[in-house]
Amino acid sequence: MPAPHSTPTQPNEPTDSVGRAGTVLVVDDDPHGLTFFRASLKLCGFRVVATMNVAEAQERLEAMGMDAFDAVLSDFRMPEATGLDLLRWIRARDRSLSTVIITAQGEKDLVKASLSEGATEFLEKPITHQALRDAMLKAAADTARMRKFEYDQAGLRDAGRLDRFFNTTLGEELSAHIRLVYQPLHEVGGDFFSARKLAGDRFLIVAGDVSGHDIRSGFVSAYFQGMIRGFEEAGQSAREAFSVFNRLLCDEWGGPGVDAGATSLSVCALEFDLAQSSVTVTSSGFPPVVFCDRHGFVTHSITGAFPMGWDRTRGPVREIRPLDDVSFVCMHTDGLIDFATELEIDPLSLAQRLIMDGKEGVNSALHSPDDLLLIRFFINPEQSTTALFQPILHESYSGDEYQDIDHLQAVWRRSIQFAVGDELGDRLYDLLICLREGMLNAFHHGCEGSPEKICTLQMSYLPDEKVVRVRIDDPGKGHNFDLKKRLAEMDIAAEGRGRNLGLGIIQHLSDKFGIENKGTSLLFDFHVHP
Amino acid sequence: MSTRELISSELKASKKRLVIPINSDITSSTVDAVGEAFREAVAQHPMETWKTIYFDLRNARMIDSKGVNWLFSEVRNLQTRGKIVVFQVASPAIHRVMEFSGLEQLVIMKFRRRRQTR
Repeated sequence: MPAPHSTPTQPNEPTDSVGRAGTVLVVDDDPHGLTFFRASLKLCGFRVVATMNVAEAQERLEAMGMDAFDAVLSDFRMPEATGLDLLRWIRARDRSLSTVIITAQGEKDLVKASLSEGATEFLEKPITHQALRDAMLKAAADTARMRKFEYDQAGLRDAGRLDRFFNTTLGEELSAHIRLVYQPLHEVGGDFFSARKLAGDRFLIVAGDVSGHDIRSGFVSAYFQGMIRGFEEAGQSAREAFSVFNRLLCDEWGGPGVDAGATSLSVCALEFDLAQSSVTVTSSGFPPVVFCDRHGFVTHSITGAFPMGWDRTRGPVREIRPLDDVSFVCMHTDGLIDFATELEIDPLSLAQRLIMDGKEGVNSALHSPDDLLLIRFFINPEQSTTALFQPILHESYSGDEYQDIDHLQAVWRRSIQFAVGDELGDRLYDLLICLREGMLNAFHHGCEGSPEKICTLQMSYLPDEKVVRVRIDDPGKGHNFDLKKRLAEMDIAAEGRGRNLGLGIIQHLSDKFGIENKGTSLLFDFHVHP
Repeated sequence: MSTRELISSELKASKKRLVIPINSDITSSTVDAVGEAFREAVAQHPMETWKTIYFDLRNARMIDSKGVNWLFSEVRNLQTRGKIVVFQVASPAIHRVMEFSGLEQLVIMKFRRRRQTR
């Protein structure tokens, strides 16, 4: 049954007033229906462009541009092409333009099809003025919202591209020193870094993580990086820049403390002076920086400061570390730690795998749930990175954790296999037996099973020679006898239950075995192919 | 793992052979349960019905010093009673530990290397 109508007019006759509610394209082969829709929508404040078939509608959209329209109202049943055909055509060109489909009473299945094609709304005849007004006002509002979202997204993409171009491009001198894994999940905000070669043999590397992934976060990140550069060029320290920016975030850009509207920034700056063989670490709420020695064993920088934006009275922590016997320095954001926790492996083994994947040009199959940023700065760029021991595990345990030895062993196994792959083959179990024996010795004798005492396990890997190196340290008093001599003289069969059997097993299964600090430190090597 | 899953037993009466498959690593975490299950399995078969006992360790990948000590005790105990002890081993790591610890000298060792897939 046709909708109520006024005197029919030419379908393409422009209206007199420019619609304050927007412009609607109406498509209906029924001239009476078209007249009703035109009159009703004019009353709502819309400017109406009317057409009588899909081909004509497409011509008008192309001639005037999709952007000229705020919504489309189309009948479903028309000769030659239907309202759904028009909907598909529109969505292929502009997904933000809302379309309302008019159906006859009882055409429910068609309605479902139109919704699955992306129609904003449907109207079932007979249509009242009220229903038409509500549907088209909503459609126009949806179009406006979608277009703003796409505009913002395009802006974020541009901002992200600019940020990556200006801040993450490494020059030749920097590339020689740096291995980088940078996988941001968003266009702006989150993890960022910048690296610069300074005068002399000095380098500045800044890495951080700004809360949020919106335009505000991108702005804060860019502003901070610009400020750091300005301070450096003016001869001011990173610590000064951190303190100033913290006050800026707390006092001028955010409320007191941490709230929903505030932005915070975890950041670390490394100022290398290779001529002086030292690095200055300045950190606000950033994970500890890792220093790796020639054995692949690590120490960490101090921590303790809050992220910027949390507390205006708390400045960054700062320390100066010598680089003697340091092969490389590593910084990473918390995304690495979270990803490693999810995989149930040590973060160092994950780092090693990511670095090696990048080196070999392999698109890593690993997909982190958060931004990933990992930077290694090698002190001597002449040296091939695969000729250096790389850390793959560093864990500290309390003496009573011997009760969880099977769980710990499973983590060691996963971490080793993750970092080294299948190279070890059957030797993996030799290594696991030795780790188990060494750690049980540390738990029972060094820590005496006490939760108050801590022992440490470290592992590293030398890719070129395929050697796994292990170090176990415990806080025990050690002993005064010559353990190696005792192991050499041990006769298990004669004694029955031989003393030091566990250490004897390690010595027998490993390829190189050593003891330091009166037996409180064990070191042993495993060659993948002995 | 239940006792039955941990250890089973099969008597081959015509050969006077008792076979004990041990389906677990023998470490500080498992040695008590393995030991108890082993004693129960052996107790099911009167001593006079078997002369040789096979420890089928082909499903074990690892053994630590506590496991070695337990095996040593059981081997000594059985040999004192006049039994012949055979170890069936597939893990190269376990074989190496038995070589070093001297267990290989006390028993008949049947080692056939199998790639560890577990």
